[in-house]
Amino acid sequence: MKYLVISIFYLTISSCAAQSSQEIRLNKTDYEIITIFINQMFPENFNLLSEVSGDNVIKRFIGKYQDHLKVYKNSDSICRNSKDIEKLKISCPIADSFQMYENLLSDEDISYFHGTYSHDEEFEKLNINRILNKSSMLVVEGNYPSLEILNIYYNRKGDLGIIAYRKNYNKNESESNFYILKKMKNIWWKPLGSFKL
Amino acid sequence: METKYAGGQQCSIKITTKIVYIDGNSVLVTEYSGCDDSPMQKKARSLTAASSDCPDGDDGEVAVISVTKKAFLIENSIISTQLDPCSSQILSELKNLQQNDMAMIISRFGTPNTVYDWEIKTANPLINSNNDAGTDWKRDSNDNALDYNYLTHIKPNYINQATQIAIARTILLEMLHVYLISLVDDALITGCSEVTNFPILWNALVNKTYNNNPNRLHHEEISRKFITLLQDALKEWDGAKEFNRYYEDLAWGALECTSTFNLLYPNSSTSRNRILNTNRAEDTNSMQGGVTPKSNSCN
Repeated sequence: MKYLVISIFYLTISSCAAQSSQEIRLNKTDYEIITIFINQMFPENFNLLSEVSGDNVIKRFIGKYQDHLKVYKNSDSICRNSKDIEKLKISCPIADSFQMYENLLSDEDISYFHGTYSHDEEFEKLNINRILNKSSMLVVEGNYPSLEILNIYYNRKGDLGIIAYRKNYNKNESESNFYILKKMKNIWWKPLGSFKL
Repeated sequence: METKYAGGQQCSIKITTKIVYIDGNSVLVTEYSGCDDSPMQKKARSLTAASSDCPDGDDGEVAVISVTKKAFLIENSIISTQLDPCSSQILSELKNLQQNDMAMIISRFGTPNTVYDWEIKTANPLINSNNDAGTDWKRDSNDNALDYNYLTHIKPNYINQATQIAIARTILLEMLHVYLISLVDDALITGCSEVTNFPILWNALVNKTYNNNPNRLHHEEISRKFITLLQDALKEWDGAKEFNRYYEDLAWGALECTSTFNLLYPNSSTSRNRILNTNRAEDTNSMQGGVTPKSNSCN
């Protein structure tokens, strides 16, 4: 009986500890899209950081998405309506390039993102070897250049994956952006790329 | 020709222009004066009959006046109320240089289509607080970018450790970022084609597989077109106390990752280390690789 009480007490403590850390485990899909992202974006070698910061950047993602959608709608409108050939030469290719943002997210997706990802998160460390096995890149020693995964988001359906990342080229120069992937036919991930602006 | 412009919120400006001939080339001379609520008077020279695909004035001379006036208004509308006193003083001096002041530099870049708003403040850059400075669109509470509205952050720690000429260079470089972003806005909002004069930037906008960092693309464009402008402005700001090479070396600061820099100054070149060390010395106000900073710190 004494041992049973101790065991129950221990299990309770363990459970509380697990709940308080709220650590998000990276699953097979996470590794799948991270590997595609790295192989698409970074043919050069870099220092891949194993820490996933978990920074809450979903608001910035939605803001940037809406900026890109606005660019598409505006350029598309000029492209359809202007009679100025010089403006058409600018606005039509921009509309063509930004068309991918049309209908990429639904209002439901945006509400879901706001409701689901409203705070910083804590991720387990990346298993870098698991990524390197499917990549030709080398992880270099030292601080720069370095790539840090900030967060990973999915829409409600799970057919849109977003990787928030930061790449530090040197002390003074870094890139912070979002890489978007769309799941096709519920089978494969199509890399759509990072935001343009 | 005399034009009176009652524009902006800050003052009324009287603009007088005339065309003179130097070495057989026509040069438009523009003088600004009578800024009613400001003691500042300015004399600026617009160098060329700047071409523009999207001027909002008439053809020829009027278009050139319009361009210069816009640059002047851009310079005058810079918001710097949250800039530290030392950087604010440097900014003020850059705005009042005789030959290479900020309005003239903007005019020399090309043709701003729209008078944009630029705020510069001393604070950690939002995108990456590790960077010494950063420029982006100003954003509303939903993180949506505001058209023709830009915001630059200069890191407080950088202000505390860098020399004044390094801060001047940083302000000028961020001004170039703002200018390039405004060209992107011009293209996205109005269909103006000025951005096509910066093909790296233009290609990135229309390539469907665009994955590059806009900041890096800006640096590539700046390294190809604006080194001399940066050099001239820094030299004038500093009173031309040093050899030209010093100012040119400083103009390369923050552009050391560009393909242009690597082509001109490969790893094996002796100039490369000198440029890197000169910039590091001024950025940190400390001796770097045997190079001593020449400018004073803010402290």
